[in-house]
Amino acid sequence: MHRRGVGAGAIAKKKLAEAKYKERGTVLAEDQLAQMSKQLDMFKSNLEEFASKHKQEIRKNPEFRVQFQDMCATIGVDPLASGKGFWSEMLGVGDFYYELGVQIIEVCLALKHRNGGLITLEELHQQVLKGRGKFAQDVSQDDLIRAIKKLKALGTGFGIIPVGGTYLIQSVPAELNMDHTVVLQLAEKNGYVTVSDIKASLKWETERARQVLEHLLKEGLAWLDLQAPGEARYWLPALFTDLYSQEITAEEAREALP
Amino acid sequence: MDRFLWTSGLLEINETLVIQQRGIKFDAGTLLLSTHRLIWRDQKNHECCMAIPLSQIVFIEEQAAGIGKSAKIVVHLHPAPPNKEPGPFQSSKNSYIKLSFKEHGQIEFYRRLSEEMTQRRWENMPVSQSLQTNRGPQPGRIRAVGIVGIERKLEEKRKETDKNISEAFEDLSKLMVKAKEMVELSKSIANKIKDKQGDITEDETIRFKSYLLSMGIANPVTRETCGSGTQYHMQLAKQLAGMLQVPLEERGGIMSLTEVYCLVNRARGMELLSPEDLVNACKMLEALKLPLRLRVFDSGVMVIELQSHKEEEMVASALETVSEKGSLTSEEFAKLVGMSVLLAKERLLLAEKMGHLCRDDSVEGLRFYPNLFMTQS
Repeated sequence: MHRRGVGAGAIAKKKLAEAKYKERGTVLAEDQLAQMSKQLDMFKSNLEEFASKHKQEIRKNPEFRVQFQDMCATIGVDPLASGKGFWSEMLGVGDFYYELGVQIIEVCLALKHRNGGLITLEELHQQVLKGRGKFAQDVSQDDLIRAIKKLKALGTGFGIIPVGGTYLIQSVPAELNMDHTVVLQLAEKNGYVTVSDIKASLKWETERARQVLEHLLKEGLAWLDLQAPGEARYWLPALFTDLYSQEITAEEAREALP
Repeated sequence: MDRFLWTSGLLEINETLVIQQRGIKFDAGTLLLSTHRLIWRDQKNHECCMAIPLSQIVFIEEQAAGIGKSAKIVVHLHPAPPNKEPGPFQSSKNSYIKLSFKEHGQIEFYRRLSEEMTQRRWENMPVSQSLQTNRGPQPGRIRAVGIVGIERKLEEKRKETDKNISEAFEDLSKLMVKAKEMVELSKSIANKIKDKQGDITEDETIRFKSYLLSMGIANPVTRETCGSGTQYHMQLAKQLAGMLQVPLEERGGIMSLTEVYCLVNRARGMELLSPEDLVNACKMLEALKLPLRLRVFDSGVMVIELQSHKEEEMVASALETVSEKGSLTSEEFAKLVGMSVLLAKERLLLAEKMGHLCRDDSVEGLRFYPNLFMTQS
């Protein structure tokens, strides 16, 4: 580490350098740094003013949160990067999402034994809402997705897999490649998938289909049902509640299935 | 009202606890939205079930939650048509109902209900039984005077709310313009630091990084948001070392970063750490000579371990345990030793990497055996 030179000689040298730079029209980095420091202070007070008027809006309005996040992303700012950031400190967005992160982790851990670490966004949403209790602030699915994206930094395999219009949230570091996710998407319709389903929809060979299904079995994401009529079915517990949380009667169940 | 059959499937489920139907509460039920109707079923008595066709709905609005009050959706209805089938009430003076969401879910439900109201799918898909509908030449535009007045008031209120939001958006946009200037400036500075134009001291570099941290701007040089190595992260690292000593000892000297994140944030209660804050602080542990360190396994899993914890030594005892039992899966091993499955797996994998264990990878799962190829020639 070297200190900027002191003494007459150093001053002269500096003056020379400044002159040279000024000739070329460039600004010295340390001058810009000073400028940034001033602008930062100004920005901080602008943000404080904004917060005093609109902090509630962010707290209560998920649409506004989405807009806010999108705007930040467009200009290259991440309001959730640090709890020490201005955004977090003054608008309170940080605590909201970081706490949500903790709740998401806890729900995934609690249900892992059942679904192997894969859960639909819907079910995660319901469970998180339940856990938060009646007096907590409501959260939207978009809020969950943003919190999960941040959790990826912790290195333990949080992933977001798009399936049929919604998302599956992966919370264990199981390796899922394109083949696996495509089969998951196929299974979303009925909660299960068979080798024939895969061959018919995806036009794969038997071996490829079987390998993918075996991998899902191994990772605990799929359950094998050998008692199904016809051929063996591979059920995805993660997708169960989508179908069965509706508490439909036997009559409706008969009519709903194809 | 009795149950009707419908032809299209259920759309969504949400939990509601109370419907205030015409002044009298029905408690604790589930609200279902289908493409044709809004259905309420009592949670205790599944036989008790009411439905309102979506075509009867004029307008819906949200009522935010308040102190002691849950969030509500107010549903404004047409007057009952003369051929309506029997229901819980023969007549009522109110033309709206309030759905009270005691267990949240109001945002999603409102969104879905609005979608259905816009799409009006019930008009395209006829229902098999004689479901009473309000089909006239124009779907349900015959109103009583009272409703018109209510609608107008609601429209005004909605405009007012919209105005508040648009003001907020305007202010936000102005703010973003200023923020963007800062981003540009920081890029310029970072380039200069890289090219060494001017005379930047190390102190100033550190100051610069803390500016980036405050604004949430990614460090253009290292690409890490907020960059590691700011004062804040150093302080944080020291705090963590103090906070995690005991929990680590209780857990056998090692914890996954997710566990640490939950533990630390639950303890703080307020001013929580972001995941990136935690990672950046942990990266500094070793450099600051603190008694903990961050370790990244091959799989990408990140853990914090005590300096005194030697994972390699733990491998030796893991080998003993596996040998005793003949073979073990990660789950079995985790249960025996009393650690999380994630870390158990990592330990077994490390043992395998060191040549002490062999794997048996099958459909039944991943099982580890002592590596007899090594020990028995």
